[in-house]
Amino acid sequence: MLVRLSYRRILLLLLAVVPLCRIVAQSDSVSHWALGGYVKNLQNWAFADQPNTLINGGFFHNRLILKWTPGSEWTLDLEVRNRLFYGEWVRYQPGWAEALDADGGLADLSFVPVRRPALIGSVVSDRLWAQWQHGRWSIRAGRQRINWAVALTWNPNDWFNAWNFLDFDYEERPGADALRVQYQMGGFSALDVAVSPAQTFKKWIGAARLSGNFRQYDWQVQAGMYRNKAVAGLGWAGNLGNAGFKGEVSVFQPLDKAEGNMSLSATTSVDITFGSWFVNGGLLVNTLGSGGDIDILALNRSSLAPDNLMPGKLSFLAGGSHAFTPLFNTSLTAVYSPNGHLVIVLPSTAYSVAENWDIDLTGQLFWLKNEQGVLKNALNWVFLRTRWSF
Amino acid sequence: MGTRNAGKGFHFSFVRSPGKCLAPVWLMALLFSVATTQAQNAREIVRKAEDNARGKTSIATMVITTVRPKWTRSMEIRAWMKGTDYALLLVNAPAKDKGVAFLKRKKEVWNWLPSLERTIKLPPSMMSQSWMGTDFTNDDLVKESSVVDDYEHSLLGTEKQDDSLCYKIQMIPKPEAAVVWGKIILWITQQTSLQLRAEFYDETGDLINVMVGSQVKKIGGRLLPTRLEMTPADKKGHQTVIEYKNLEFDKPIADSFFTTENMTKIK
Repeated sequence: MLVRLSYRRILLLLLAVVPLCRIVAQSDSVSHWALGGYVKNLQNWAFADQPNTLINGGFFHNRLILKWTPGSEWTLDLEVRNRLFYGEWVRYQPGWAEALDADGGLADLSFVPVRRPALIGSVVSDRLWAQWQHGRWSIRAGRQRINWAVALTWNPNDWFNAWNFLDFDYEERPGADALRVQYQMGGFSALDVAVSPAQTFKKWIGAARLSGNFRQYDWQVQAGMYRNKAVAGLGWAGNLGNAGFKGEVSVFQPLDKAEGNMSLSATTSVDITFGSWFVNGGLLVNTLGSGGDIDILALNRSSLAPDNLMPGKLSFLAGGSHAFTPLFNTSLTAVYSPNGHLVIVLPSTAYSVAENWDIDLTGQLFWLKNEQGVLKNALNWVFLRTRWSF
Repeated sequence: MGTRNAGKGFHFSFVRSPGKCLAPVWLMALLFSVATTQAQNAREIVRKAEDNARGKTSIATMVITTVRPKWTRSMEIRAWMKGTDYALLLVNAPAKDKGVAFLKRKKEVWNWLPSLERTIKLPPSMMSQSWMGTDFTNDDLVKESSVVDDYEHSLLGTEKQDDSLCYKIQMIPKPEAAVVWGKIILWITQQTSLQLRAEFYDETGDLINVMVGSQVKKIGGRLLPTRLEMTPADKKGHQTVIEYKNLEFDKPIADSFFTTENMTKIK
């Protein structure tokens, strides 16, 4: 039986571990703390034609990153995400505080100290790990990001901590409570083995990845268990002429026949640069997706499953970005799902105001086929974000 | 230090692409006919300056400042280099980019984004893009051309630069060399083999960039210019400045140091 860790238990554990590490570290002269992070404000407006609505809101977002290197072999990392949500959008989403409080991991590192009708304060730690590294070996335990992704937008190989590409403000992306062992085999080859336990065995994730480089192609093969499904994957990142060519394929086979049939999640993309223009195009195949109407709310989930990254069976993506100056960048991306005729348009512009100050304006515009079979604007989001990094 | 700017590997080489390639054919004929002792001497002068500036390996901490008429931005970088094949760059500042790393292995480049623990392989077409908003391109990081082997050298004479008597050397790229310049002129001190000035011309003979080395000091056990200024000839108010804060030479670095796995762990 696994014990679910609470914030208080984690704190007690840290208090016990830190002096221990100090003793370990005494023999080594390299020991330092590093504190960094940022403070952001994100102001947002959601509006729709039918019903005619405008909902505003926003949140302050502070991230604290505390890294401790007690010696050349040890690293400890604690990262905390503090957010204060305010405005109408809080009022119109009952149950949001409870959803934020529900930590999906093995340890409960979510805490919601402020719960008011139009104000929610959330504290969550999405990284809390210790790493030991020696020669070719590296072992990391705790809440961490196990990023096995090589493709740019969708990541079917990201089994441990899938991410919703519309959640653009979550730059760091979620972590998983896991134990990971890496072994560098020499050259560019490496073997990764990771296991992410859960309250019930059916929710465990465990997998191995072998990666390498052959003729300027990065490749990886993966196999394991994903929540009671056997899973195998393949990923690559290389070049087609001057263009980048990347892809990921994962096949999921439920062990329990009642849970359905084998499913495929696969993506490929091509990206190329012309002067200061960057252009990319790609597609995602998701056999678990809907072949008919698409539930737009499914896109709203903060995290997704690697075997169900988009609501439709097929999604195409085309995008471009242009740097007018090193400080001023704009981009435009469009996603189209033929099933249900979902269209998403994502315009964005970013400006570096000063050394540690950034500002950006991002839009997320959705169109869906209505009952008459006509593509109609369904929902629009506009986000204005300012950021100070330290 | 000087010759580190004239065209090898990861050296923030100032050998920026003017967007054109290959020397005209008539140069080929000319170059093959110039094989004099004088040329060999010029080549040796460049080689000596290059060896002095480069070492077998180097570990450097530097501040790169991009100057524009209306703004400036600085970044601090730590760079590990081995020959022309291997390099690893780690950004220490600004805060937003701290921990971002670049790995160069032969012709391939990877980018590490620590916040999302993500390695991204850069496609060849991205090489012509600005590197982290500076005047350098990604291509400057991976260029494997050699100031010694990829050019024909000739001694134009001697000239004073910063009160030091310098050899003035003309370098014309060999026809098969993957070099974007039509011509480079170097000023290398006679006494100390330091490159204090370099002028980069395109193949039509227009001056594109001027690089000036200054603040000559003992660093990493060698006498080198610790400040490099690169100024584009036709862009008023534009400049890129590199200041070396620390430099170590010839400390052994294993090839296995330059892997994508290690890039994620470097501190």
